[in-house]
Amino acid sequence: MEIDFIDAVDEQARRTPDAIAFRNSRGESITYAALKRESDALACWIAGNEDIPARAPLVVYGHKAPIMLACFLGCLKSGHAYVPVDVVFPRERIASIIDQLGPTVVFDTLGTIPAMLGDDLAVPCFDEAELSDAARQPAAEEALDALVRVQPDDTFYILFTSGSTGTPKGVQITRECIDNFTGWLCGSVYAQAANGEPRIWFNRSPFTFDVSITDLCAGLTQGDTMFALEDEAEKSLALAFESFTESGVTDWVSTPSFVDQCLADEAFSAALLPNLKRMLLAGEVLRPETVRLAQRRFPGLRVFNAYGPTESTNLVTMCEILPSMLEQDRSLPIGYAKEGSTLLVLDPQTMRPVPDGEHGELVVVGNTVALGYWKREDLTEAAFHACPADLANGMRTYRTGDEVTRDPDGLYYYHGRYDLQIKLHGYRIELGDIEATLCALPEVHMACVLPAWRDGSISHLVALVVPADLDAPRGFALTKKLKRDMREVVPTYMVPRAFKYVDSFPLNPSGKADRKALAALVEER
Amino acid sequence: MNDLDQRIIDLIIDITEEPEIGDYRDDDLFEEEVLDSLGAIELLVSIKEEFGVSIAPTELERSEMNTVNKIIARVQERL
Repeated sequence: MEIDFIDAVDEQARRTPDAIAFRNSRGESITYAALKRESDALACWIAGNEDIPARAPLVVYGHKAPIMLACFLGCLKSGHAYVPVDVVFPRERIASIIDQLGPTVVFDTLGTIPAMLGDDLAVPCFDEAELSDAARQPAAEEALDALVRVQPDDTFYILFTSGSTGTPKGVQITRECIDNFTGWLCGSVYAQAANGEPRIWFNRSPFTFDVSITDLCAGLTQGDTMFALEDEAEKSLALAFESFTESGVTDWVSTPSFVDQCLADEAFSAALLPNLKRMLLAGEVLRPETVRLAQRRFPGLRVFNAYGPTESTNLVTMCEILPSMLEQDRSLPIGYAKEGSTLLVLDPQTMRPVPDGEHGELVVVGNTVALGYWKREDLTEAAFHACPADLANGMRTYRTGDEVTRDPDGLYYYHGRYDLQIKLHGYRIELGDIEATLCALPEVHMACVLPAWRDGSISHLVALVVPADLDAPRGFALTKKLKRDMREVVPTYMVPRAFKYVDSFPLNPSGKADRKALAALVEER
Repeated sequence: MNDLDQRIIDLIIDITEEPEIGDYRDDDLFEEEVLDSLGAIELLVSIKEEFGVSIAPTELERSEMNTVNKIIARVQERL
């Protein structure tokens, strides 16, 4: 029971043409009729533009403006995957993404890319004015009929995520993955909870992160309204709260840490968001305290926990958090396996199943697993072809690196990572990515980045650094310089909050930095 | 430096893990990536625990508490 995402969104233009599909905190909005008209026009313009390489993935840069959605759909309707790149990405990372894609163009909805990349910009770039013009040209019937949209096995989008060696890697999700995911989500316990009433979704995450795709699939295909915060409101909690009062939000999709951040202010309550009925939280560990406090502030609020890697289209488990789960003396479950996915718990050494209740590595088998990492066969081989064939049943598989257990009743619990990937405030980060960035700076000889824990979750990152010049001054002045240089290369959420300097690292028998010994320098508080 | 200043600086050091931060009292803590939005909330929680001074995260704009000196001033105003 898949749902054709593109058709379903277009269908809303016939059903409720004047309904608002998407609105942001600046008051910019787009109706379903306009979304269809503009994406059709953009698709025809793309198909007829000789500067745009046929069927290549296309970069869409910006944040939460309605034109972003029209561009995504315009790409899809003309047979191109879209590559969302959010303002959270700095110069070097954007350059790396464009470079990895090969032939492409940039839809620069903010008009800032040429100044940012300068001579490094080697592909055509279209700014907001050109895109708006193209979106406003009425599409000719013949041109529309000639369009060939992305096919089920084609890539729908590529999301670039942190890679362990300092280069971001692009996860290729197919149209079939999205249609299967949308079909499941729209029939899930979460969707049933709304009982068909009209919904307004808080579209919190940047389009670069898969959490944001979840509510687009669930909402846009059903004719709901999406509400998002533009940049300035995202940077100021006061502005965000101000725009919440007029948002009418009924459904909230975000990471738990954003909820924590809001809950830290007592104004975040039913008085601010009187219509809020449901929260779907994913992207990191959900703590019972977060649920309890949210349900005190919003009486009757139903909270759902979900889990899934970007590599298997956003989510593979979900369940409602019930009062009985909050009373148990254990972490909250991440949910039951979604329809269409088989979730194996394997011994990471032998890759054979472990019994229920025992810890193992989660391997996803099923109809939403990505094609692989864009042009990275080495990484694709290791993650997407690790599952023994007798367990895969001819389906695509993805080895998550996540340590989980499964209860006999089918509920899954998350216990951590087998490698150096972490989640900080919902952002997925490879510690090796940060370390590689640090080591590339001339002042740094060796670097080790470790998470600092507080109350059972990661509060920030600490960088331990062996300076290249052991005699140079190493105080806050050096720290400031290193942080500034890092910000050119990685998003700010990857810049460690604290820097500590040491003369050398303790080494383990294999001659690598002994992370366990170093972790003792980063005490838990 | 008086005792109150030092106690507030100690709280900031505790959260930022930057022992020299007291020597850079007019540096923009957000610009320098010493504090992020969650770090700022941690700081407000510690200030409440230490001084009984309650400042809601939405009450102040970043520009009102983005340096050590401004944080000290905001606490003094409310004591």
